[in-house]
Amino acid sequence: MSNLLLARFIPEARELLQISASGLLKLERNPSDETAVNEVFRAVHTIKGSSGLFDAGALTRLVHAAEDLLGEVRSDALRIDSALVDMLLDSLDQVGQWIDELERRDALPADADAVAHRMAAQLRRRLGSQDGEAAGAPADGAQREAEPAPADAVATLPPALLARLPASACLAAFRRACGGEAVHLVCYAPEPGCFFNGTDPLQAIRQVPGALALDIAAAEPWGTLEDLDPYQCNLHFALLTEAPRAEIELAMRYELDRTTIAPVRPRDLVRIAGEPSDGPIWDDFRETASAFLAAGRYDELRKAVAALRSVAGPTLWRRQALDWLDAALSAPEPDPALAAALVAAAGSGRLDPPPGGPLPTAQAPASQPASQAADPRRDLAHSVLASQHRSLERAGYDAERLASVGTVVENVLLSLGRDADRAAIQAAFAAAREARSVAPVLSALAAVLAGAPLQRPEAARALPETDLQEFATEVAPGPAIGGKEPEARIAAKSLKVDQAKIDLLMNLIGELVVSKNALPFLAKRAEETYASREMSREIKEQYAVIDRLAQEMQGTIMQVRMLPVAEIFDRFPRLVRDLARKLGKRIDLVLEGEDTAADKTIIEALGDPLLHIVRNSLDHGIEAPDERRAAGKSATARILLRARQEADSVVIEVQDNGRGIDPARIRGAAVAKGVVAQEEADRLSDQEAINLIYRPGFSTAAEISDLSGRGVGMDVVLTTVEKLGGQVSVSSRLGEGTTTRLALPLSMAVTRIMIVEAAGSLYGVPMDMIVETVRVPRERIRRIKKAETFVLRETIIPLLRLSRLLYLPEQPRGEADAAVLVCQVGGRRVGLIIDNFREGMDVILKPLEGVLTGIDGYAGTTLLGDGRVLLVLDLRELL
Amino acid sequence: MSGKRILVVEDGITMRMFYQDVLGRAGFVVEEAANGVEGLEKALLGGFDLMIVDINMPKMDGYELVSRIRREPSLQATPVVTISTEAKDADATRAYEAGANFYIVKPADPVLLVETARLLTGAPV
Amino acid sequence: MAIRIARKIVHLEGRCTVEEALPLLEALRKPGAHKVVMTKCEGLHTAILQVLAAARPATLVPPADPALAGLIMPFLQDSSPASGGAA
Repeated sequence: MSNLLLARFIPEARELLQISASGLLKLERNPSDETAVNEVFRAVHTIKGSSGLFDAGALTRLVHAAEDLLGEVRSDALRIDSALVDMLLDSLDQVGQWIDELERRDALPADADAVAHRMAAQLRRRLGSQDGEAAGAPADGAQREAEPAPADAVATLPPALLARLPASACLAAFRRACGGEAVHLVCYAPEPGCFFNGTDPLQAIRQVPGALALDIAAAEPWGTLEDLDPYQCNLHFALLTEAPRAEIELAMRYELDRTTIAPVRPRDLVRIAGEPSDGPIWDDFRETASAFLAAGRYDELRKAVAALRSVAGPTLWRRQALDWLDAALSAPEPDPALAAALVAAAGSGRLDPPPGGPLPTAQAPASQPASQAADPRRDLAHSVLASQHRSLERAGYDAERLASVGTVVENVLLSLGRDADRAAIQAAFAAAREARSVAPVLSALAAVLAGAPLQRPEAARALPETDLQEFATEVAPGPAIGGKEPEARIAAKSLKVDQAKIDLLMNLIGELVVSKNALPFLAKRAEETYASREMSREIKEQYAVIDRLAQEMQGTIMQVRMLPVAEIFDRFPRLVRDLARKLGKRIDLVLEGEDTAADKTIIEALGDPLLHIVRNSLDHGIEAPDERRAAGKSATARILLRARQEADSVVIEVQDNGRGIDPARIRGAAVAKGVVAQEEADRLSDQEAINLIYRPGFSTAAEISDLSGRGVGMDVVLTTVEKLGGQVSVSSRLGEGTTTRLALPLSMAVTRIMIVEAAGSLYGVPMDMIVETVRVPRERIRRIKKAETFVLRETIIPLLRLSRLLYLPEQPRGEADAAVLVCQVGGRRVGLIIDNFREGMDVILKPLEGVLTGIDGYAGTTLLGDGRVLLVLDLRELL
Repeated sequence: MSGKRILVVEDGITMRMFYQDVLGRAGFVVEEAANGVEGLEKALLGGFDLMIVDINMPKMDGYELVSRIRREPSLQATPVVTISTEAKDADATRAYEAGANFYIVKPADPVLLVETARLLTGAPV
Repeated sequence: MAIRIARKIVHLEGRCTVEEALPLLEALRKPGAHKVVMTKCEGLHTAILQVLAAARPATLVPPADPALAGLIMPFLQDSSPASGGAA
């Protein structure tokens, strides 16, 4: 199961990383772009949230650091600059590498923890650096909170921890806490691999001053000794300390991202033990003390407490309650609720649980420590109800609020089978609505909270420690819910489908297209062999229906395969930025028409050629800022990447306003490199000279730069694009810039071909190469030396014989005219003499396999409807 | 008893799949919305026993969504659980103030999530 | 070396570092009842602590240093099978 989740996470994370990177670049250009900062923040935040589902702590921590930084940028506490963008981009790159690693090996590399630690520390150094905080001061999320922490932000105390604290120390801590010097709970869940970067968690936690009690617990239950890895830290620490927050943070500064610090509510420190006792003296005390308390007469209350303490035996439970009460009252402004609880305790001989338990939020970051520290499962129902109590208490009477609280409380009790409590609560809600006051509900809730544990014994056992990786097996199907099938499931609006499945569907539809082509053959046979015109006609009718359906299916699947060019365009802002910085050039990259879509094969194959063109432009086209200024241009150059659809093609242009291509230089370079001879170079028009850059072995730079050169020339661009059935053209004006234009078919999955006969065999010719078919009377074919030509509408078209090109014996034909296929190949027109034209059809081209692989001149093979294999020609190679 | 229906409002695809899987397995009917606006639209179509709302979302964040839900008469009685990566009390307090009934820190423990859903929908634990 | 092994008795002395976790673990993996004497121990790495917690030696003699003993013994005694059998 976790593999499925991971498989979903990986593409999501990549997409989000891409969004983050392009957002960061936008932000760098325009630091006040609020949309961009929100976009980046959210993307990073989502990665962080989802990554928490997997065993990728290092990744989560690094992303968390980035998120914190972005949070400051978002709240204007930090100004974004290029150095910061660099840092964030580097971190995102690292995350990207880890995502690749997760995909390959399901795990992060061994050094991930160390890398995350280093990079996160680097990021965090920028935190808070602009609001006047001392440099080097610990800066983590907690410290940067605007307010010191609200009074109700409390920690849940692990019971074991309190038990470790001697009663006297506990009372002393309580006294201080009541006086406003908060006692803090420090929960520290070290990274399992932390030993490797020199961290000794025990030593780290010992550095925290003012320690009152320390609880150590195993994060995961110990397995057998044979399986124990002594170098994987499996311990969690919970420390109670009277040190102020800043000191704790200083001591734990290297481990802050693994540490939570929260003040402890004084109430939670109260621990009373002793012998039971009884007597009217206690009842009297309770009465007097309650009255003083209600009137706020603390001095008199203090006196009453002191008086009774002097007479009651020190080993009595009630006397100890008085000690705590005394401590609570030692504060200049005692907490009335706490004092009331302790007065009641001394008066009744028992301590009622506090109303409103802690919220289940005081958890250690990252991995949820499985120690007894704040196990939210144990008291889930209690927590839920306590939360309702607290929010009602705070909101006061609010009919809108009451409704959902009512549902929740009733459902919880229903869930637990507490029918009596439910009846009481229902009555309380009715009374509350009547009286327009939350008081009845509050007291009914408090009663429930103070009553029997809100847990079914079997439920407690049914909650084992669960490893997230195995959750699928751990979550048992719920008893009795969903008796019916989930009939009302609304279909999701979009699906993410594995590309391989689309490709398979595509191939199947392709096969269908080909199979349907058998029907006309069948119709012909019905008529010719079985002499049934009727049958032949019916087959043709059926064929028409199937043909239409197949075409619709094909069209639909093509749409599914369409991807926006944004898929590749989005890589460029980052790339151009990095290269420009490296080259010391200033470039404004503009993207247009990113929504233009084309088949995914085209889009995917376009990446490299486009990269090459852009790099070439950056490297050779764009001048350095000084040179631009000297030429009267703005120092910042512009590169425009523009996509648009033109008929059946997607056209992509790369336009720069750089120095342009100098035909004279090209001629010189081409001759020097031996690409062309001097005479040929002289004959070329300027445009033709520019086209020389696409010749193999040509590169305009004196030395091959590591950016655009890489040992290959622009000829690679041409080859790739033409393989896809596209065209490349360059236009340039010296001093003004260069535009490279790529035109590619929108889709290439199904190729339309024409079947032709030559030398007694059938061949396919891709339809997109054919300009027209003509029959040329023999007498109009002219011979110039050995070459044949004919004139078509005042243009001389060279003629070639297909059979000769294929080295096949020519069969002399006595016909008065020649069948000529006029083709457009590599920018020129050629007439191909064949024996006969046949029908056109849509085919799925399969590449040549086996012994045929090396043979030039063929684009591939396809299956004909009658089962024959048809060779499809690649005219570019053939001519 | 009919299947308890939960609306999960969460922008992360992986997280949605996680909820769908964990809660679906436990017998809940889970529907999804990818942001606050979509969440509100789906919620208004009605019939949910519980809403699980992520805090940090595009278009309309969790706080805003929860307070809108509480202003809708037809949704006032629907329990809402907010989920966030933030373990800070200030965030929890803000969610409760907006009208949430419970606050869970991400990544939610699957068992805890299922138990919470059962408790809040009145399904047997 | 801060770890000294004499038959079934393991002595941890001075400052025990992370490097000593593995030899300690190997000693405690051997079958039989083990005794770990920490009297002269002055400090120990977390790795040592968790090996002791996981291995739960039959007898554990706490460090003489009260601060160190107070730090680690409650935890080690909680996880020891015969609780309190050491002190």
